[in-house]
Order: sequence, then structure tokens, then C-alpha cells
Amino acid sequence: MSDPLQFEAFMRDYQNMVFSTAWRLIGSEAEAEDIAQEVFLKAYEHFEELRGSPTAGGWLKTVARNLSLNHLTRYRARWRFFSECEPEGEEGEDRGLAGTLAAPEQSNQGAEAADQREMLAQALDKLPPGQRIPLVLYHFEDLSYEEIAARLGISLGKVKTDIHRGREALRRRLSLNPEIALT
Amino acid sequence: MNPQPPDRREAWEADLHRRLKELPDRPAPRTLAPRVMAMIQARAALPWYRRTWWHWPVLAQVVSLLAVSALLGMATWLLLHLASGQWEATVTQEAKSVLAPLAPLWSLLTTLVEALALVVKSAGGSVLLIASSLCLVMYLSCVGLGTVFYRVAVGRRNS
Repeated sequence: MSDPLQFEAFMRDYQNMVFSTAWRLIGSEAEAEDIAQEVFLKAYEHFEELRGSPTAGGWLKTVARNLSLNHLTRYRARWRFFSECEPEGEEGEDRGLAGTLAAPEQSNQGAEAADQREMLAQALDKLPPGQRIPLVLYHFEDLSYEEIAARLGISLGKVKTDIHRGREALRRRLSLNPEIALT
Repeated sequence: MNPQPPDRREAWEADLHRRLKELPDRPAPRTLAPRVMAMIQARAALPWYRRTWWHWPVLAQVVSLLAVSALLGMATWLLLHLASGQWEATVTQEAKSVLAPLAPLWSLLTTLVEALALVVKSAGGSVLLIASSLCLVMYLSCVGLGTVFYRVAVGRRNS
């Protein structure tokens, strides 16, 4: 088996994880695919070291996170400006998802575990970037508040506020469906 | 929204953290792997001189380093000689002869700038103020329209 074929098998093992890491941070499928492609092109350059390494997954996740954050930083002025233009009220935040969550047939039938996860994932996607990015870094990437503040170049207080607002927005959205309301 | 007691909020946050961590990875698009493999093949097919320097053959890297060093040395030697003034007169004369065809253009440019300065001087500060305000209003209108279009586009995407 030649290197490219081995690499393709390696890539198929990790592609979902890399793509998810990028998508959660960036919030766009097309851009996340571009980032994932860049991650695997870098991985190919280091394939000799990564092949068979138990830390390959961690390496790929870190590169995916860093490339995604670099991408966000590049377009930072835009997403920050527009995210701050997003409506703060419940009406605006629940736009689009509220109908799905409040649909009576879904509430009455009781959602399956997979549906609940899908709804939580959707609720996360619907958060404005200013709340979603710190929340993802905290809950998925296990970064501390201080690390997030340093990485995004914002104050510690703003990180805490954004994460708190993000959690509250998730709670409001999920509480619309009693089947998946968090305790 | 009623505020929660601290212990209840902590429990809720822990539950949220657990649920988020349990979210499965999203399936990558089917196009990802073929795209990456195509890029790898395209890069492998490139001749060595079109790849990044780090991927050049060792011999080519050594030769390129020597060539760059030689160029830098030559540039330094030339600068030192120019600074000593030996070549100053020759270079100035050469520059004048090379730039001679551009003399009418330079003269036209100078005249235009002088005319503009005269207009500004005679019109006074109020005209400048009005022009600046007009520019600012136009800029803010563009930003405002951009924001409105973005909101409309995002609203349509989410609806």
C-alpha cells in the first residue's frame, strides 16, 4: 500500500472529527470543509510522524482549531460587527428554531435521544458567532476563560458574559420543548 | 427569566456541558476526501521549482542560498560605493536622462496641484468642511445599506 492510500484511510478515520471542530467554530459547512482540507494537507506533510501516533487525533484537532480561529480572526471585524447587530431578545434568538421546537406533534410524541442531540446541535448553530465561538471553545475544546480571552483577544469579562449569554440563549431555546429541557 | 440559585445553576451548567460533549461528530461531506486527495496529487505533479522552498531538492536549496547570499553581498558592496560618493555624479546624470521623457508629465502634475491648492485657498474652510461631511455621509450610507442587506439576507436564510 502506497502512502496516498494509507493517508486516505487515515483521513477517513479522522475526517468527521476535524470537520466538526471546524464547523462548530465557523458555523458554515463550505468554509469548514475548506479548513478541513487545509488541515489534512498539513497532516500529509507530517504523515510520517502522525502515522500510528496515538496523539494524531489531538494534533489534528489542535490544527483544526487554530486554523479555524485564524480564519475567524481574519474576518473578525465582520462577524463581530454583525453579531453585535443581532437582536438580543427572545423573539430574535428563537427565530427559525422556535417553530421546530414548539411543534406540538414533536412535543407530544416525545423526542428520541438522537433527535434531542440534533436539536441541541441546531440550537448551538443558531447562536450568534459572538456567543457560539467562546461557548464552543469552553465546552468542546476545554479551554479556560483566560485562554479563550487570550486567543480571541478580548477581555476576560467579555468572555464570561458571552458564554453566560450563550448558555442562557440555549436554555431559552431548549426550554421551549419540555422533552429536552435541561434540568 | 427568573435567576436560578447558584447550586442549581452549576448543576445545570454541568448538565449542559455533559450534553454538549455527548454530541456526535457531524459527518464530513463526501467531497472532502476526494478534494484532499486531488490536491495531494496535483501538488505531487508540480515540478520542484513550483513547490515551496522547503520542498525543493537539497542541492537546489544550497544553490539558491548561495545565489541569494551573493546578491546580498553585491548589493551591500554597491551601496557602500554609492555612499562614498564616487558614483554619485554618474548615477544622478543617468537618472536625469532616464526620467527626461517624464518631464512634461511632472510639469502638468505640478500645475494641477498648484491650481487645486489655489482653489482650496480661495474657497476657504467651509467648502472643505462641506466636502468632508458629504464624504462621511456617503460612507455611513454605504455601511447602513450593507447592514440592512446583510440583515435581510440572514433573515431569509434563517426563515
